[in-house]
Amino acid sequence: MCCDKVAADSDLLTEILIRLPVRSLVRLKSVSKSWLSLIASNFFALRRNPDPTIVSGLLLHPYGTNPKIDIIPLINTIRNPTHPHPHPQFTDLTFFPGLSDNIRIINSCHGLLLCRFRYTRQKNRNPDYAVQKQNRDPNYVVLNPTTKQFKILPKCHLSGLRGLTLAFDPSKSPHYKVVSVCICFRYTRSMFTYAVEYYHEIMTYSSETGSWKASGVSFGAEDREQYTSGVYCNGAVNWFSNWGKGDSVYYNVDEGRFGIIPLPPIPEGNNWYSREFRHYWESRGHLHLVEINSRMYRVDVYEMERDYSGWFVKLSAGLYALEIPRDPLYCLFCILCVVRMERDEESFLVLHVPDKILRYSFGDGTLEKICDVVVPQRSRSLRYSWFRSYQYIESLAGV
Amino acid sequence: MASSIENNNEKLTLKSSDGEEFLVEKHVALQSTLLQNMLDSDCSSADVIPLPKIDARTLALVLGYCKKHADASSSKQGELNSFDSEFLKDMDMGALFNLVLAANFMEIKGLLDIAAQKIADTIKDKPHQEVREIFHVENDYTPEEEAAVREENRWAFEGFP
Repeated sequence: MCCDKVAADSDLLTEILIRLPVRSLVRLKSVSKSWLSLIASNFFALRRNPDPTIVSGLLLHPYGTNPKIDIIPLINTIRNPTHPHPHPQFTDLTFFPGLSDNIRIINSCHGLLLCRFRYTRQKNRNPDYAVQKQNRDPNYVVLNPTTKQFKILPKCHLSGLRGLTLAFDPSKSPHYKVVSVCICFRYTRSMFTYAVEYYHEIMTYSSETGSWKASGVSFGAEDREQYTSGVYCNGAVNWFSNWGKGDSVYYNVDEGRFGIIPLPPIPEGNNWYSREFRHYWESRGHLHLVEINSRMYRVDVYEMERDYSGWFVKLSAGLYALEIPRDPLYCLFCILCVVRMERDEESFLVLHVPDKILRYSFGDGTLEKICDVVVPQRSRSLRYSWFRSYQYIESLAGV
Repeated sequence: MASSIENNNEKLTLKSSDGEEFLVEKHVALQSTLLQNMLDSDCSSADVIPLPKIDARTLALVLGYCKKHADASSSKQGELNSFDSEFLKDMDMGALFNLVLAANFMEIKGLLDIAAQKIADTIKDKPHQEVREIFHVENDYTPEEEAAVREENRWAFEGFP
């Protein structure tokens, strides 16, 4: 039978199945064990999406305490008719059975999300006090919003957890790592007294082994805030300091190497406090830093050299055409994302002004509306901020 | 021999698995990377080329596709697209499977693309039990295992038996 031959030829079967939408694929995992292993394989994921850097949307936590997630599709704004899956199915993140809806995204990395959540009260009526306490602590979960699979991470044994960063590069490995920074202390003894010395230590979780491991790397604890969330790019997690307060540092996960990220050049007569650096982000294997000059309505996108030797201005945008109210006190726009495409002229910025999300194209300098935004109650403010904006990349990667 | 291959009017004979012979113009045959490689290596341009995996009915369809695409100039992309969709329109699953196997064997990228897409479009909204039957795949799950895989992916089954 011809159908037997097709089903038996995994290359040919792959050729057919890669054309299916995610929902169908997830359902067809139930056909047989060999279909399950084919559809779940890294080979299949890469065949279906050979460019795992295409950002098809943004996931955004709006301002406010309610941890709601808004989804803004971008794929239609990417002028790439050859992209095989122009209409990814967006989903909300409240699909965890038994988990609370109190879930916050911490990191997004090539299609996977790292989130923090707490168990709801009902779930926490355990008579055992130790379990209750454990459940009150935040838990961390890695999830794939495309396939809706998730894995709750075992607790990192170090207390004093400062932050976690997801490190995942499907073009290199189907496994991911989570890098945590914990604050530790030790007593140091001088002639007559004991003193407490604080330092940071790095632990890594590997999805391959399913366990945490101490990296043996420790470093000073001047700035405790910068490690809340890092940016993974080209094998290294990068943490940016509040400029001028401690160093920005990187940790190369594969090589276990720690290093310092140099500062961008400071023009003469200027200082750090007068400049607005934001949005430290990865796109297409490049590490970016965005400087906004809000008086001039100008945005400069810096890129880091691969060897960390320095920053250079890669792209610039003049946003005078933005029809937004000029206010000397507030900056009434923000950058939600820098999306690099294969060619620089196709790259674009996603901008947020009080009632709209816009796309600025670096190629022709045009602005296009992506969608309208509900203005929050206290008007003239923005609904979203750059640091709560996460890339959505369609992915079949397993967790 | 090599010089005669340059001749555009040259014809080749292809032989299907069930013994039927097809006379095709060389530029039509060149739509197939397999035949192109055979001709380039100069192995059998004069002889009959056997295609033991492809029956006459399928080969006729494949050659119809190749002829249309070889004859059309590149400016007629719209016309080719409508030909492609018309070509597969009422084809049953068996014929589609034969076509996809033939396109894969003969390395005809365009035909492989449209036939694979057509099969994908057909099974996209079918329940997995039906897809299993279409592809004649043996269900090697135990009922418990199958239920577990389904439970894990419950969201994808909404509205399915």
